[in-house]
Amino acid sequence: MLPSKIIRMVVASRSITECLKVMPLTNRNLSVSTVKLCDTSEESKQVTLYRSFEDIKDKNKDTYLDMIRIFLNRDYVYRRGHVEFIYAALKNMESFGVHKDLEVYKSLIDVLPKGKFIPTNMFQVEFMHYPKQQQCIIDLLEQMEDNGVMPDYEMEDLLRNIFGNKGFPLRKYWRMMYWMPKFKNASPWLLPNPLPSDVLELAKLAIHQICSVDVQTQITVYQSRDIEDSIDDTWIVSAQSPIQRSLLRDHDVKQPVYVEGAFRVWLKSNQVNYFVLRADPKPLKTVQEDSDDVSNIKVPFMFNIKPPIKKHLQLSTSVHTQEDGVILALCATGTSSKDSLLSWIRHLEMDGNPTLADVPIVFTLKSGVKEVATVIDNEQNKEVETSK
Amino acid sequence: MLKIIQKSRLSKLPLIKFVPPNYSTKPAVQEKKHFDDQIREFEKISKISQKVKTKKPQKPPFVKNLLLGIFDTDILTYPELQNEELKNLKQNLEEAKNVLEQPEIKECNQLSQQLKKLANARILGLQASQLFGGRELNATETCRLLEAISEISSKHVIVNNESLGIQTLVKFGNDRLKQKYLQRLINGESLTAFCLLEPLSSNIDVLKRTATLSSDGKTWVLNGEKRMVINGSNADLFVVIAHTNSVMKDEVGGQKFTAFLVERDFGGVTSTRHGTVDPNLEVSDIIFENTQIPIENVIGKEEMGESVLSGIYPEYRLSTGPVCIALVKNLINKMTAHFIKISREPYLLHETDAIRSKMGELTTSLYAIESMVYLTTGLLDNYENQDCELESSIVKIFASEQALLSTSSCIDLIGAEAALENHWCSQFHKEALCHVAVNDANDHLKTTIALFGLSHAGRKMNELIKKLRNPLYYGTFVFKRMWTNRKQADDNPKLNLYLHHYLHPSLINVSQQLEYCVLRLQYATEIFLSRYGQDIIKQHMELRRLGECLMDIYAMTACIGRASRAYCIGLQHAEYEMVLATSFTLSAVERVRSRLLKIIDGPYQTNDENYRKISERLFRLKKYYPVHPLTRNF
Repeated sequence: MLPSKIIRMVVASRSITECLKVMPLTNRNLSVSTVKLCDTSEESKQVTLYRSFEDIKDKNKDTYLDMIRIFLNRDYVYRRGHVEFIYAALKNMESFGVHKDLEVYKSLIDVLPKGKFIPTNMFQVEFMHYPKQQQCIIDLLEQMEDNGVMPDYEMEDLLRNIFGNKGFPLRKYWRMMYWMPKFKNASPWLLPNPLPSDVLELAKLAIHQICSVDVQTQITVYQSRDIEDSIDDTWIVSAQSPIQRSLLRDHDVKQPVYVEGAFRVWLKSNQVNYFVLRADPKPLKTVQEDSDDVSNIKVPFMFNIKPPIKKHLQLSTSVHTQEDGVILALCATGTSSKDSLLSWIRHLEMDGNPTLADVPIVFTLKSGVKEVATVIDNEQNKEVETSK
Repeated sequence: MLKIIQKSRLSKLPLIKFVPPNYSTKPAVQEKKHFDDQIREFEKISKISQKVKTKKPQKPPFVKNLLLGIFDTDILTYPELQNEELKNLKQNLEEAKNVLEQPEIKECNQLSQQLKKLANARILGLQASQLFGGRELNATETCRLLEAISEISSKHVIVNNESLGIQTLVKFGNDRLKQKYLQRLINGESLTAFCLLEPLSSNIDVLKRTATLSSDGKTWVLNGEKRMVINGSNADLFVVIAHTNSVMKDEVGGQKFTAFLVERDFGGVTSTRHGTVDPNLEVSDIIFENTQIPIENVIGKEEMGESVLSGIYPEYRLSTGPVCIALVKNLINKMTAHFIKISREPYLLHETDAIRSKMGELTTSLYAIESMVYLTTGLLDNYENQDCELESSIVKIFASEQALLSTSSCIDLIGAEAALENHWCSQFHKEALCHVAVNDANDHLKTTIALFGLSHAGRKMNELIKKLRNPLYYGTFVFKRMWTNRKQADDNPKLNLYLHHYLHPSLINVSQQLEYCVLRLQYATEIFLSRYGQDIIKQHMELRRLGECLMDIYAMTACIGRASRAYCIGLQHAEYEMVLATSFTLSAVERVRSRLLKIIDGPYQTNDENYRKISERLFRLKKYYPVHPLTRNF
């Protein structure tokens, strides 16, 4: 068996690190005979072994970098097939989990020879010297941008050494360096980078994000096991503001409130399910005031310590009073199950919302992890009973 | 009342005439005692000098009218006391000072024991009726005496007791209450505290009453907490403003308050003492738990709490004036002495511009405070039921603000030494701080005075504002107005108030500056009202500016009036008073000019919108949000 064949097999079967020990010996042989050796009909025309990325079992950053190293060491005098190799590598980044790793992108670019692609006159510059290579790196940069990876100054040096000062990849780099830092922190709810992997932390972030409409919102983490008879043992991230509490206190006990969900909120590529406690919308009375009439400016009581505000003829509506309902509270639970939501309601009841003991509560869950609530009258009554 | 006194006087006069022949031959120990009593009684009654208080009819409110561009030129005539009154006042002051300068009173921290002494010198109950042993002084005389009282260290106790507790009884108490409590207060047997502020409550608690009438209708039951009560721990009488009723109208609650007089002995009263920055000022939180108040102890009538407050508070605010006068006066005198003392050849500090300019500023601001205080008291005394709501609030803000500015600039001037805790200057500073914050915070008062003024102006200007807010309906009017107001738009209004006709001729420049301010104020008010209409109540930044302008204009008026009077009648240092008035006016005009210009320009050409934006973000993120200056992004 030829040495290169052996390596192919090793690559396929064992981890790359082991095969690297053999490599120095077989280097020379490999570099001359790649094409011949890949004799399967499809691979025969390929200059590089792009399939090799897919064949690796243990996919991580180390093996990925090893692949690049193999490519470099295989052929360091007359290196060919960079472009194909880079495209193949780019395609497989996500499966190796390295698509957000700047270092990997840099070592991919480093594959290209330095100096060779630098244009020497204006015509070369204008007509895109080595277009395939330039386009390849532009695509690489594009993929970086799509994945939110910001280049650094070292990459600028790399690109300058490969394509010269006038190369298109460098221009692309400059554009990226102009925009990406600006977008990096533009989100009004900036998430930590990297995102925490703990689901509880994610849920806290999500609830925090939703509740930012009311700065007074208090976010509490309950444990469902603190409630007697609860089946689940999980956490509940609950959010309620004083305004919502008072809305719930003033709620008519004959009117039901609904537990609705699960709704989805996305944190980068993670999805968190959340539920809301909602009451039916209140009809909004709008009183037309003549804002032109200044003959009767009401000055509030002079002995107040608060700054004066305009007294309205009707109760002012808060942000929680929406057209389609009054949002009374919000939560995310560990299991998203009906049982955990029931525990949530009990917790809310103990935590300053005594009204919940008397109000009928209807669970209208669209999807459940453990069971789907079907909204029929009998079912509702049952749930009302259990919630009491 | 007076008739009864006169009757009793008449009936007792012959008694004395008869006395000598009847008892000349007998050992008359007992009778002599009786005789002494008679004499004392007689003295007490004969001391009652009937005070004829003829007041002129009420005037339209001065500061409120400024917003309409109406300047009441009578105000430029600085008020004065009659010769007789002044002589009495001088005498009273001498007596009071004799007592107040005794070291055990001057440096006393626990004044409760010394109250008797003060009562004997008739320092308590300055405005109370003479029948109860009070002095029946008017506002001007009271302020002058308060100035003297402010020299002692526990002035807060006296001033609060006097202008809140005693005054409430004097003005609103019925004869029964006066008989029962006022006598005790004036004799120094009791001390009052005024309980107003409550812990911050949410919307729901608006409906929670603090006092309820018991089922038999004979007692009120008081439950609740009152915060920041001055004298709270020493007092045995509390004037409590309690929430007794709520009116519900379309889901929006309004509160009704009632004033009560509560004895500590009624039970259920607990007080917790807190120290403040100023070691001489102590406040307390007072908790009333099921305190039973007999129905006779309602001050005024039920649900009259607000009118009690508006009756008491203007003069209470005014009382900050004399206290601050004493403070700044002491500060200036000490500073002068200090710089003279530490000057050595060749560094004669008192001859340097650095010191001179600052001391000049201090003197000017004290001059302004003084002028304002006595102009306001003059208004209160000379006109029947004069509306001095704004004027007195202005005095409070201006006096305390200037006091704080003065003390902090003095600390700066003195340097490191002044940072010591027991340095006199830092003590003054602490005291001034308390004046700014306690009771009514200045910042809040500023917006409120502007609103009161605007509400007055709005009533008169309504038609105009309606037209200005709907320019398309009133095209010709708008163009006409553009023409008539062309000089105003250039910040160069035509001076047509001719204020200098009412002043000494050499004040013409200064009076024209004042005139400019008043006219600009009117223009700014029109623009401000027409820009926001009813929503003006929410524009706190501009309201604050307007309030500050009102303050400055009122202060200018007071200074100019006073200086002109002094110059005309040739008082000592009159020519320097002219300089003081001029210097105050010049600096005030600058402030008024720029503030009014900001109101006229609106939120986008000023910083208002920026601040709004900055703090909106701050509250959303709940902390100071800019990242550290050393942060890198890549």
